[in-house]
Amino acid sequence: MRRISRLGKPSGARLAPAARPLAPLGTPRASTRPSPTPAAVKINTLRFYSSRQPEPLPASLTSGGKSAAPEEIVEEVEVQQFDHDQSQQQRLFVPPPRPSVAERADTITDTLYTPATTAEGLESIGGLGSWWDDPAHWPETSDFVGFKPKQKVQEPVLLEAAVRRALTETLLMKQLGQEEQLTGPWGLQGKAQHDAVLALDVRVDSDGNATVTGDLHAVADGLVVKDGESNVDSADVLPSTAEALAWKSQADQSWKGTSLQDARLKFAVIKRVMQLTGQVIPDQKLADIATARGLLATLQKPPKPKTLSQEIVAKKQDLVTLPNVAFSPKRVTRGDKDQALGRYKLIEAEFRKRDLQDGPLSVPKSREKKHWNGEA
Amino acid sequence: MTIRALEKISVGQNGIGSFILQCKRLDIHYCDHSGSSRGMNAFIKTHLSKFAQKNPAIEFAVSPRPRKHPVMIGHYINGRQKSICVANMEPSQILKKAELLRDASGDKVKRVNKPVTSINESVRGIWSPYHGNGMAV
Repeated sequence: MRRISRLGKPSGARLAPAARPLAPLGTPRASTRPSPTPAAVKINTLRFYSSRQPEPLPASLTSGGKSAAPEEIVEEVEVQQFDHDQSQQQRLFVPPPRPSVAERADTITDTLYTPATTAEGLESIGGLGSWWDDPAHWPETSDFVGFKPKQKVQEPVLLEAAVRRALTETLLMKQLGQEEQLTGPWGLQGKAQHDAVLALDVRVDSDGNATVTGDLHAVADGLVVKDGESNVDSADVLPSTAEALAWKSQADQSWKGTSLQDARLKFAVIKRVMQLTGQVIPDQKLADIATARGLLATLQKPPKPKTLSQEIVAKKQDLVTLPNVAFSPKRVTRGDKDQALGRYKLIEAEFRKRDLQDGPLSVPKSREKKHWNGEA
Repeated sequence: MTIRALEKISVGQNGIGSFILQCKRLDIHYCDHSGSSRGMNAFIKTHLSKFAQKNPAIEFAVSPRPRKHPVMIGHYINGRQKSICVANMEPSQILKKAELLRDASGDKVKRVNKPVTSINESVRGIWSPYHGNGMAV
């Protein structure tokens, strides 16, 4: 017995016009859109660089122009050349120079040439050396930027503004008959677009059906991304908290009653919310969301604290402030107890004298320790 | 001149004059994920605040101990420790154990098989075969 009714075939099943073909693996392709993160949220671009000194290039890469490579290899390398403009070039990583290929032994006409029988004395060729250790060869702007912002928007009022925007945009696309656009990628415009969308009036009837009134075409034009165009105009996708609060104090709240029973509508709204805020609704919660209010409640629900100490710090300040109660968020180790007593420094000094321990006592000889020392 | 010891006038007893709680510190360990710590986590959230307020003489040290059963360890002023595993217990049961640790003296648990115990010396004194009239056998 089938218990779950099947969804109808989505009207936007075909590829959206803005969808680009996937780049072949290894082909340097510019990420054509910068971060969709709102201004209030900073992307955590923590990258680790090698501390090794850059070495000179291997011999096979130094004589780039005088290549004696076979035709097919040259062609393959040329595929990897950039055909982007200068502004995009700066955002890409810098590929190593074209490799040179040695002449085959059987094609050498020089009579004095004798092939080597051992590797001794031969110069080493091949490899990229320390090319990628140089940060200038792969700038941060060449990092992959995904559909979802890396950092989630958690502020309730910003989430409310984002849901209202996503809902309005989805409704107007549906109202204009562009249902195939519901599954396509939409542009991320700046604050002006956000204000224009929120200025549209959403009227909801008793059945939860909503109608958008206003200049729909102007907003819809900004949403649709033309093929090959960047879909981001500004990094400030969402307003600041103060602006969102000002909007909320004046806005009519009836839009929250909009029904999301239509699966295509719900998908488009949730997709857009994900693009704007980085919040992903887990599958098991999708079925429970029936209205915009339900979606908002799901998004605004603060995440469950992962540990008891986090929960106590957040909710039980009376317990934390008691003078005779001490909370430790992490396991109290033998080293911590020694530190509390002031014995730790003495133990370390004695170990150092005997050349027995070169790091902190609390750290076991683990893989992490290797990583800290820069080992593989 | 014979040397005479000072006569003992009184025996120091805790609670006569002043009372010093023997338990000085209570370590409370829990695990964030294990099911056996569910009662302990609830105890920390619901009962510990009131219990700590009522017992300001005891230092409470709460810290996680991942992948281990929840434990309460009482430290006493005689240098000894007493630990109780409170795995799978309800918060009210754990509160009883905390009270037990608080009220304990820290001494080893001894078997008491006499009806009366006293710290006072016997009024009769210790029996000696060289004193008294002797007994005709």
